[in-house]
Amino acid sequence: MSGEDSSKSRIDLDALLLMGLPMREGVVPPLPSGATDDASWDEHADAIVQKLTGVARLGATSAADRELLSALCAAPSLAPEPGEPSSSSRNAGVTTMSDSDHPKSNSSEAPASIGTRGPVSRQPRPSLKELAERMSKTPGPSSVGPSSGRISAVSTPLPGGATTLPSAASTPLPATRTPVPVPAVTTPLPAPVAAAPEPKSAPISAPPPSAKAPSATITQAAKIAESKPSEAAKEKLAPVVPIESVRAPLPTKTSGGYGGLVVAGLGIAAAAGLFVFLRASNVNKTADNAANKPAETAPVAPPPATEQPDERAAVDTSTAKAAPAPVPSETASADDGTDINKLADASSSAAPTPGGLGALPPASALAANDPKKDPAKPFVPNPDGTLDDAMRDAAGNPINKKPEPASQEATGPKNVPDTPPQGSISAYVGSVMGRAKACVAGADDNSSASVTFGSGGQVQKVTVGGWAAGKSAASCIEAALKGGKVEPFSKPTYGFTVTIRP
Amino acid sequence: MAGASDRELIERARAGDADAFGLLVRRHQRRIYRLAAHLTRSAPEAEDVTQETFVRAYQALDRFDGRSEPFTWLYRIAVNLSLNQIRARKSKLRRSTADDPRILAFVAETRPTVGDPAGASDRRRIAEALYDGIDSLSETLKTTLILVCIEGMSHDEASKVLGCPEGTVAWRIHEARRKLKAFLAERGYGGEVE
Repeated sequence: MSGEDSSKSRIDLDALLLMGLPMREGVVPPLPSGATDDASWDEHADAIVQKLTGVARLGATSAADRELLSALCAAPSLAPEPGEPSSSSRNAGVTTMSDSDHPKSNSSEAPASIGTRGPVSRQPRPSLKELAERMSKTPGPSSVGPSSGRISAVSTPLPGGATTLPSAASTPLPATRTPVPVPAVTTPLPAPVAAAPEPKSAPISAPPPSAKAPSATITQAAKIAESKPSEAAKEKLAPVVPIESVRAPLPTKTSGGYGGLVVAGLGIAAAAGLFVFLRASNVNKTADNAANKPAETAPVAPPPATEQPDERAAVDTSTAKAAPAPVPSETASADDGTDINKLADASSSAAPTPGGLGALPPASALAANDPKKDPAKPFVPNPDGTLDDAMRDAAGNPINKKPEPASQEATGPKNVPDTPPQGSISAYVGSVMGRAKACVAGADDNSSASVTFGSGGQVQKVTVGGWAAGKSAASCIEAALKGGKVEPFSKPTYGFTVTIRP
Repeated sequence: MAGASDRELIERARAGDADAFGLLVRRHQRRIYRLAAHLTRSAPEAEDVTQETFVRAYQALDRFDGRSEPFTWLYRIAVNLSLNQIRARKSKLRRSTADDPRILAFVAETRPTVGDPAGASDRRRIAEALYDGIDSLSETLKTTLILVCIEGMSHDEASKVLGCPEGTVAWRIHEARRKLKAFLAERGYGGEVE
């Protein structure tokens, strides 16, 4: 098929997909006999009605028939699509992708005893990777579960109390957790305290009913730990900390570590921003001083800021107190002897291109305030010397920067599609169809309407066909369909036919 | 009685008025047949489904609670019967496009004007590609797409037929259209894949 044909097909297909519809008003597949006329359909209907004469109504049907009818009147059993939003979460007003991604995780992570954990059950759901790692670390089936790592990490060196542990809790443990000398752990900790940090062990190890006193002890300890998870447990666990630090980190610490990293990252970013701001202020002050003492600066005349290819060089130059050449950041920092420049350079180097967003504002600001750039041009200091003003100056100060021609995107023609977007037309149909249907309420048959839009998106013409044609409903439909519009498009007109069922 | 609404006809049929139900049959049989033809891709099966739909609806008249429109109730029965028909025959149906009722209807609808045989051939190829694409969809997506895009149901009406939230219908339509476009693009139609 040629390209022209393909293009034509695309247009046709869009129309088909939009209305969907090869099957418009009155277009029904022919009967098996090939007939499509009304008489054939009437005969078809008569045949159906005749079949009804011998059909028993619901009350007189057998149990099997009633069951079949129930199934037929129920919603079709269609398998949900992968990725389909679940109806339960939608109904609950909370739609989470994880619900559909991990449909079984809830059940697997919610043992019967999870209700006794309190806050533990509100912990964020572990990722699949995390679960897989834990599963690979847990040797026995008794420790299968999301918190098995915690069990083994804490319960390994249990003291004399270890003898009181149920067998499931003291089952083989990963080798990485064993090398801790037992006496060092056991001596400072009483049995309940040693058992305290393993509240997950009781429910997950699921001691058999035969384990009576020992499991009760553990459970009590676990309850104590759960009742005061943040106070008693932490205080009493304090001596354990060095031992734990020798071992593999606890899962809770792992998850908290990410949070710590995030907080640390935010802190560093905030500090960097503060340093950049302080640095810019210092530079402004330096520039002010330089403006007051222009003779002291070197008579270097770099190109204007708007044409300078490397604005970072301008920053470094000005910061380095007018070094004769584009000075790298190391030179500048060596001059200042402070960390501010390092941080500023680091932040500016984060943007790979000179015009990057990360480097542009301070560099442009400094370049705009640099009195050396154009000695003939009077330096206009910022009224209040703030960074905002510096950025404003760099961005659009008419004194320092000539107005650039507007970009092509801003001045070019708008990207108007050839035809109205499908979403726009769908929205139009959805908005007017209710009123149009109201016009044909109680009608015997369908009506159709050909709607023609002008390029501005407004309805130009509506031609009503089908049942409503020639009736008062036609004007009603026309008015209804003219009550909306689509998005503008480039073609002179665009039209389609819509079916209006009663 | 011709101007009576579907609900009124249902009430009359419940009361034993066979003519009322006959009118209901005449009013909706084509749509039911069209729906069944699109789902089953077989005219004889579609005819069977149509007849069975009305018979079962008549049997279950007392079960119709009036909360939904009668035609959505009929559609639901027809969808269930069509799916039963499809599942019963498994994959043994592989029809040629020559007797595909949808293709026939499409050709009849887009009957070429005199002197445009090439256009007619193109339209037939488009129809075949379109229906191949629809057939390639899953049962769920195909049913939803047919109800909304071919039968012209609103999302709300389709959600009542399918017994799922309206948002799910919207999602399925979006997904079906996306897959359909991709399918057609692979065949050289369109070229734009969302």
